[in-house]
Amino acid sequence: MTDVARISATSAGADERWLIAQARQGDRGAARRLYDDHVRRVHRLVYRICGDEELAHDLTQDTFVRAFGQLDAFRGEAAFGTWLHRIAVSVALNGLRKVRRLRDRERPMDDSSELYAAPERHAEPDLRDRLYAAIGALPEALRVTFVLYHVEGYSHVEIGQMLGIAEGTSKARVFEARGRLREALADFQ
Amino acid sequence: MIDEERFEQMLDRARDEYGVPREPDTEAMWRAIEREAWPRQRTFATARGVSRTAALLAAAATLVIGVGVGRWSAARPPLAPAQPVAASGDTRTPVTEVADVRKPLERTTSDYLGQTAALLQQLEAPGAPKGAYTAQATTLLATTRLLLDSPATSDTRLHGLLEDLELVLAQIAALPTSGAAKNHEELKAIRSTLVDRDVVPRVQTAAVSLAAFEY
Repeated sequence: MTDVARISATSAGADERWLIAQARQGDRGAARRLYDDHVRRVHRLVYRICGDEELAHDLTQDTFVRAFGQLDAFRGEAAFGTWLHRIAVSVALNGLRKVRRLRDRERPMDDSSELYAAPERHAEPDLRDRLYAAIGALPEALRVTFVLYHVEGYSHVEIGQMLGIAEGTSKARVFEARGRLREALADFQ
Repeated sequence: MIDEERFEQMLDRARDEYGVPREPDTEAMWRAIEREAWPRQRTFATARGVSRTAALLAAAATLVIGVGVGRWSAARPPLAPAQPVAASGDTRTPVTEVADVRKPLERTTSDYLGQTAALLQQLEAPGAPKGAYTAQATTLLATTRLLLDSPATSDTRLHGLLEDLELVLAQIAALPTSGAAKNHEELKAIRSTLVDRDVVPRVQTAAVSLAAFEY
């Protein structure tokens, strides 16, 4: 990291701490700035977990409502973004389960339906489409852990904290998910 | 079989390309967040059902705080006779005083878990539930929300458990008061949730650990 980048990052961190302090005191403008800084990343993370635009929209809102309501509990031990993403993962998983349960109850015979929509396939599906469809078809626990590790770039320790699982469980899930994906792509040369 | 290098390249590309949503309507989301996060400025016209929820939450909050403070005061030993400060010269707060501050909330959580475990065990037993279950579930649901938002649930496992309980209690609270067949189906779904999420053993374990920690 260059000196300029380091100073810029430090300044951004100090700015964020100030915004958090202001938001805790009820400053709506500060809360809005925190929201603007993080909303797209949170929305993308939630979408990658639930795979549904409308649901991602609602769950992103819920994430920020929950975060602003719990701002006093943020102690600054982790970056604000990491803390926010933990909330987002928790909200997304719970939201996903609630919706899936409701849908299952509405359509009890359709036990193969997955909420996660596989990406649209072209007439000649290429490797990328096959891979993304295979990720979408993984069981929830494997898919979420895989997405957090390989797509979102979190460490196994961070994933363990987010999902309430051991670091080793996260590693095992990613290993299992990779195996299944390779299997799904077995006929590709 | 796809070779390892190509597979890794695909995974690297996924970081940028997998599951990219359309640009969200951030303004609309912010307006909804404002309404939820700072509800005092809601208008009555838009606050559908808020008065009932607010009354319920207020009642639960009073109950929780009342029970907590009551039990805390009851559990405190009688005050010792005043000691001359100058004699000891030690002005530090005794450790027991600091620990006492957390106890009301822990005990409230423990009581709540005990009541919830009892309710869930009744539901797991054969036989259709009576309407009283839904009222109890509604009260416990309000307490769940309070506990979820309290600093006592910074523990990830307890927080996860409370979120599962929130779902189950909401299902119980929504049980139809009439129509045995529909009631039976709803109960089946709730029992299935309890089994899938291993809820009852987790509640019992949490209640026992909290009780052991407190007393």
